Amino acid sequence: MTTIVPPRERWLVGRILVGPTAGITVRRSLFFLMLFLAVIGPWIETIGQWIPIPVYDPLRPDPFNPVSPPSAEHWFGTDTLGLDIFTRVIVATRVDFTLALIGVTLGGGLGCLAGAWASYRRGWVDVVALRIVEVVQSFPVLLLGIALFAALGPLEIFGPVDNGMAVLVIAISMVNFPLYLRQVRSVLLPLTEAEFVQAAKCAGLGAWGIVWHHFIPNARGQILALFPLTCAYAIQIIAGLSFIGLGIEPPNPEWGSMIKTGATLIVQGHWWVSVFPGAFIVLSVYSLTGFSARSETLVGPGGTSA
Amino acid sequence: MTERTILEVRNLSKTYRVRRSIGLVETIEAAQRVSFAVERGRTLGIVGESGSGKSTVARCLLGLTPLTEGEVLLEGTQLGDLGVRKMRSHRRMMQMVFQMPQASFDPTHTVRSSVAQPLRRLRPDMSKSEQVERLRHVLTAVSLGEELWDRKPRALSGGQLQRAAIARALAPDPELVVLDEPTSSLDLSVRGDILSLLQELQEEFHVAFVFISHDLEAVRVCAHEVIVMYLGQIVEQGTAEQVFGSPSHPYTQALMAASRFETDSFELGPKGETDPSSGCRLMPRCPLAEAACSAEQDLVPSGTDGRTVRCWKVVASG
Amino acid sequence: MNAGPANGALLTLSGVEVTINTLSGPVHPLQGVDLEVFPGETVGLVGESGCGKSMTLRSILRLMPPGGAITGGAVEWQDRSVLDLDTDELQTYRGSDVAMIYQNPVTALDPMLSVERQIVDAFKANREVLDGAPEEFAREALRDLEFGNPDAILKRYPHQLSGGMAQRVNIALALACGPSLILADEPTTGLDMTTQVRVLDLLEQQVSARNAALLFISHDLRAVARVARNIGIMYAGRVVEFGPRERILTEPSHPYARALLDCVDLRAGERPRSIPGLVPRMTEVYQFCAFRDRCAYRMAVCDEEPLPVHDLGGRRRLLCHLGPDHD
Repeated sequence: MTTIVPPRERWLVGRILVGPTAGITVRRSLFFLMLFLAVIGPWIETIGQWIPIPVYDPLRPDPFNPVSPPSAEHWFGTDTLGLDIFTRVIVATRVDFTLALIGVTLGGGLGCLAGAWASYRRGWVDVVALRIVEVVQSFPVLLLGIALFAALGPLEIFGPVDNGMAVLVIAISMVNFPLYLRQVRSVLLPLTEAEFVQAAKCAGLGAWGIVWHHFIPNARGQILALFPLTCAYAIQIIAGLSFIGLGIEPPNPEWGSMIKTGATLIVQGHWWVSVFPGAFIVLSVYSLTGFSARSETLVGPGGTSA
Repeated sequence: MTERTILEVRNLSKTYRVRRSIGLVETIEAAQRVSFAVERGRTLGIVGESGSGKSTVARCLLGLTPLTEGEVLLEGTQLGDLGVRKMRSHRRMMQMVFQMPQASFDPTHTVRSSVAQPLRRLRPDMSKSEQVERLRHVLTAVSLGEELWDRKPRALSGGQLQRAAIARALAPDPELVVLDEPTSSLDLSVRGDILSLLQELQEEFHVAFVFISHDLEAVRVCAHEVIVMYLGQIVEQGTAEQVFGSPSHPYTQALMAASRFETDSFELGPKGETDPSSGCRLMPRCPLAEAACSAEQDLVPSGTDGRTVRCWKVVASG
Repeated sequence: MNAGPANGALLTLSGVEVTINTLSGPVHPLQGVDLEVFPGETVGLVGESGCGKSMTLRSILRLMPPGGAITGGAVEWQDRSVLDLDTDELQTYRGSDVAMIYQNPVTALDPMLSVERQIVDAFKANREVLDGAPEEFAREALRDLEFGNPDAILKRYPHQLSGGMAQRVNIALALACGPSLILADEPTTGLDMTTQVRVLDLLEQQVSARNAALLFISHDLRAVARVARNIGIMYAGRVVEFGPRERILTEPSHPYARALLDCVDLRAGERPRSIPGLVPRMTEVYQFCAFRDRCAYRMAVCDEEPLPVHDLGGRRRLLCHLGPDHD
């Protein structure tokens, strides 16, 4: 008896980085570059002392140098306060990535559990879950954000520097909860009557045991495929809300609020203030999509077999 | 109820409510006053077409679906009276093997972890090393090659998976295993394997089987006692030699003929659209039916050998 | 040996090979299938799952799974090569020359359309000139398949039919096109024993009443024996023995055919028999006999020489070193 094991990179890094196509490999490399920037963000000034890249304090204005175009000293130029855009774009990576990750994990995690529970229990549990989903999804995303800010105000959960971050996380969770609930439910609904679920009941598993040991693993591929896409979506939401003045406020570095700063300057020809943070949003979204395609081949049912 | 009786079912009934359209709810009697007993280390065969209620009975036994009426007694204890926790401790006594081997294993778990699951859950009294020992014992008993233990289900053939399913059922050391069509989705070339394996395991583990199948030949090989079901009712009940050796109920005769692909001798009419509300349920299909059949039929002893039949014509002719 | 229009065969497969490229490497489900079907005859193919029965039917229709291709041999329909048909010709061939009946009768029907719509559409699509209303043909078609009240059945949707009823509707659909050959892929496997025989008999009756040919595959030798006059035994992508029903059922020559026959008959009081070992996984092209690992009659020559083809006349053919006349 022979079985053929599909060729696969030996090292985990290789398995994660190298995709089925060159385009996906590029996107994944780009993602890890962004992740690296997000990690080094707070120490960028210190790092700048050792390497010949012009970085500055992201919050210290330079009143003598406002709205200067890209140059050797300021690679991406400066904004109205004379803040260095290159430095700020990099520092903002951390804010946007972290908030997106927390929000999606929180809302998505709850959505997965709720979806698995609803598809296991069916009946009224399922009906209630679906009604909640419909109510949440009937609000446009921005409207939901505005309503949350109006109702909650700037929660200061993350301490005095909170700056609306907690509300952003809640907004992203609320948007993601129904997405994951629906996805997980649609995958698992046909499994409710599956014989292995009945076998698990015979083995003495309770409802949560079945949801945890059988339902969640069976939806894993779908969840993992959805995760990068929803993270990309969350980054757009954060930037969008900050752009309309909710969430992270200037002068704190955040891509959406930076675009807003430059929005009025574009007509005067000062394009760099908005374009660079905008480009970073596009790049981050693009890099994240590198993981959605076939991410089930990483850890799908067959991924660890053979 | 004797000393040797492990499972006794008394007047088990199950009705499903099906919503046909708004306001129109139909009740379907999937099992109607079914009674039987299984002795330690013996095999009871349940045969019938689809819709005869044989799988419903199995699901009721295992507590996978609540029964509408009647009693299921396991070693003299009534299952319905048990609370959830007590029920779980009784789960150990009764296990099940399903029809579709591929569907009865979680594709994300290895064979070993699936087989170990009932052990971990139902045998908290065993130490970790005893559990590992037991796992090795059952997997070896079903002669599943050790190289397959850590594979995912899709790497195994249907026959191999069904062996693993039998190992899983035997793992917590049950008194009774319900086999729901264990050979029906397998090739005929492995059917014999599974059947002889079951016979060997019964010897070794001294376990009782409830063997449910539409394959009469398979049941004939394995079963000691047999019940034949039609539309939720038992129509004939007796030992395997009685029922298969000289089938007396017209339905049993027809099943026997069909299972050998010879219907020319005795053929039933087409399966009915609606069931008769009273009288013999087989009447619309039965070639021997006459007016008197529309009276309610009871399951009564026929002859002196202890078998029971639900057909007045058979009983009258002795 | 290459058949064709000369010997009057309707369908001729000669040395058909199929390769499927999967993520885990190539699989070779057919490794040289030889088969002839003559007008109006019933042929059955038997084998374990994975032996290539279904793939044989798919190669006849040129319906390959993703990554699959017919990589060798020839499929001929009367005097034309099926492999050379263009898209339009292929469509006519699939619709009106050859029709297919599938294993799962309920999913083979469109769940959104009534039985009437589906049968009427089949009549309209495949017969350009109809004298009379297609509804009348549909009713007649159902009556042929022994539906007591065709009018009620016509109004139903697939989920309102039992398995046996749905399969009879499928037979009606397949016959509606007036094909000369019907392919049936395990058409009764999911049905009750009592229904199985009935559907098999109806299928055979209707096919012979229309003078069509039937190619029937099943893993159950008993079902095949009920309908087919000639039976082929398939193993590892080849037809290892072919012959008239009586011969195959009473004294088959191939050890595999004998073993299959033994498995079918369970005798009370006797240890049930099975074939030891596993079906080959078809990940390689077998140079020698693929059954030799499971064969009770294995000889030295089996490991040394490729399978010989014994043509025994009277449609009998055998692929085995033992030859036709061993004990």
